Amino acid sequence: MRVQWGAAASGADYNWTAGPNHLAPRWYKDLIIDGNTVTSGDLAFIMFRMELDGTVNDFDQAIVAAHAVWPELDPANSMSAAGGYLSKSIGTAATNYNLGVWTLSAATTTNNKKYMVSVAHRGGGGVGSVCGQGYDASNVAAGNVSRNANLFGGTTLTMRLMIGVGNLTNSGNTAAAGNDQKFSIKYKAVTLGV
Amino acid sequence: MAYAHADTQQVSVETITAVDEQGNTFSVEGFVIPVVVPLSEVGELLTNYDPASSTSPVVAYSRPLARVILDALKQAAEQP
Repeated sequence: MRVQWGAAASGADYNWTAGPNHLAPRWYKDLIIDGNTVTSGDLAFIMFRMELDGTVNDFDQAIVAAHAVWPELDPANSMSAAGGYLSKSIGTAATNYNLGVWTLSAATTTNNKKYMVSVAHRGGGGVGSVCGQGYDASNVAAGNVSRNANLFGGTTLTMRLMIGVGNLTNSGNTAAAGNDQKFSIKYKAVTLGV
Repeated sequence: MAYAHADTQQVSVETITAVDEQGNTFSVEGFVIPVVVPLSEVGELLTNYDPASSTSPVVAYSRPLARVILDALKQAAEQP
């Protein structure tokens, strides 16, 4: 997936690891498995494999892939999102990204990895936890991370899958008009009991 | 009863990007040390802690807490 920014963006609102609000661009869709719409009450596990394309190096960037029940809202806690996290600074070697897991508006990452595999759990109204493993260019696992979302809510909301793009930091080498982000995200979701 | 315990098997080097105890955003690579404060000790610790005083907490509380963190850090940093 390649995304081009139409206008410059900076500040905490465009940094997925800064609260309290997220205004950064995101795409989302309902999570439907075999015709069944998954809700926040279902026990669900969403696996992501995320990787940045090192040929695009326009700004200090971050990407999130997550489950969420209100991805269209701005307040981080209202979005109720958790998943995997990619980040990269300008000039970082193509195999040495800072990758990890993300909940609400914070991330735990492991350095010098090429791609990230994470599992985000959700169910019973809870946003759940995310755990992940970073891999190097030789497909060797080298560093694991995890985060608890510590957020609980209703059990009848439609679960969505979300991808968000944005800046790594609030200021500095932030997105300018015409800047690109390029990455791949594979996912698979399973439920117990749908 | 100790005032706190460190889960030494869960100490790791990670980068945390989050909000700290002062409400400030930080992004730091370092040792992440899970420190467990028993619920039975919370009342005594907070009763004897004055955030407005630069000399609080007293040594009787601060040293045991600091040693929990430093012992876990020393163990993790010096392991082969």
